[in-house]
Amino acid sequence: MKIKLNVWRQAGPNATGGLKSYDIEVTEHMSFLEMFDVLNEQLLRNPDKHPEGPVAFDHDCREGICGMCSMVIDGVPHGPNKATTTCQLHMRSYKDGDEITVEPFRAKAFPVLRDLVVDRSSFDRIQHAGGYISVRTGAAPDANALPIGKADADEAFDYAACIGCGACVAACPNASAMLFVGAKVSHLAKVPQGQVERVGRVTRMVDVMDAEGFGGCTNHGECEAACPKEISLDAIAMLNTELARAAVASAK
Amino acid sequence: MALTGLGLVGFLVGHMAGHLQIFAGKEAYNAYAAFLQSLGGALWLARAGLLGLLVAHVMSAIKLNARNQEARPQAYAVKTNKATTPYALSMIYSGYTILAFVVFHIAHFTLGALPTTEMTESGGVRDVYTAYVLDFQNPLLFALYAAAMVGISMHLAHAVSSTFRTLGVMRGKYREPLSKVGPLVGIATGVGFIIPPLACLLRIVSV
Ligand code: HEM
Ligand code: SF4
Ligand code: FES
Repeated sequence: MKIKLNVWRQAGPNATGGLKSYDIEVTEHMSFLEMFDVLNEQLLRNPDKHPEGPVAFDHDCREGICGMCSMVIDGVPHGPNKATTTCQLHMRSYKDGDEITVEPFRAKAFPVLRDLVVDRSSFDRIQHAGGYISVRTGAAPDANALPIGKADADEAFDYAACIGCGACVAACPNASAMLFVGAKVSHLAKVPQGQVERVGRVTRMVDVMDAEGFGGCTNHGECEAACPKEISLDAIAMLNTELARAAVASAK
Repeated sequence: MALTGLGLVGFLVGHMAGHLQIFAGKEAYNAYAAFLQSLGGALWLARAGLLGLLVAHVMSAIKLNARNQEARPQAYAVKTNKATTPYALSMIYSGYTILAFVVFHIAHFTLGALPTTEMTESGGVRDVYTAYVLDFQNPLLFALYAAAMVGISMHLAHAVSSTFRTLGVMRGKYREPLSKVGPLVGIATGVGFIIPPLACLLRIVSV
């Protein structure tokens, strides 16, 4: 099938970018990223016609677990399908003659490095500020030494599913990172291992989130709709509760 | 945002209940107005409190809006929204509509600075009732108020449920029911406020 791709091309962090159109022949079995592999082969074979070179894009596992494949496809991070990463989106979701526009994630806190690649190290710095627990090292503890209630374990597990891809920020009209931070904070708040740092964690992570230049949440709900791991907006309600709890605890 | 907004919502509900007393007739309505005036110091305290809430709300709204615009310096060429609503996307505009309306409304009734019906006395108290009823027989004035109520409805339709999430209560099994409260409060407030002026326009309530 024939696809017309409009791809954001930008030579470097400070270069001005723009959309460039390419016509490409794909099969319905290809994944969205394989389409880019095919496109890049074409671009590399024809350097005279395409001095701009291959399209730089992030990817790693190509099986929906690493969170690298950051693309905004026709205005939606990770494309049109629910709970699907870009690498798991297949061309059978499109039809012959479709025109598809692909842009990088856009946020002040995710500056474009080149083409579709953005720098998401602001997420790492948020994690460094509090997304960890303190444990005694040594032999692994027995599996059932630390009982956790079923409901809490389930909820913690759902929040822990976040792969840190940043689609929530890309989808948010305010480029807010509340869903990501909410998922990280709620995950650790729900398990006993997370209790030691519970109060300091939420304030430190939110402080770094603010300092990195993410926007403020106004509850649009676009993050949840775009999240490939279906992290619930409840993470944001939970984050706000944890913030209030920390404010009370530190006032004591 | 949430706390000042919630305070303002509290005022709105009381204010709306006050206005619905227009249906209780001239004496009752004028007595209510006179009662408010008789509060004296307390009235000024309430006015100062409301103004404080409004100023704090507007200032944090302007700051939040600026922060959110800075957070995405370059817009998408194509952006497809899947979850949000037109009223959530227009909060700052419905907010400014409300602000313009508040100024107009105070100039109209509190200061009497507009060329509308002169306030006279009746039975020893200011005859707010008659001025109110005659004013809203003017379709233009009615249309202005109606437009402002659309703004308030839209603002609250998003704001009230949004506040529940900001306060952390709208999650788990409370999510579905509480997400419906905002739109309901929005519609109820807009309709509740416009009923008395509409009744005047249609001569259901008359002098
Ligand atoms: C009667 C007057 C008003 C009431 C009852 C009201 C109520 C509220 C409430 C309850 C919220 C939600 C807070 C949250 O989710 O945390 C809110 C948000 C907001 N308000 Fe107001 N407000 C009023 C007037 C205004 C005015 C005059 C402005 C003018 C700039 C304004 C601008 C905003 C903005 C920008 C937001 C946040 C945006 C968002 O959540 O999407 N509001 N308001
Ligand atoms: S919350 Fe969802 S969209 Fe956001 S970083 Fe985690 S997995 Fe990605
Ligand atoms: S490449 Fe790893 S999630 Fe898509």
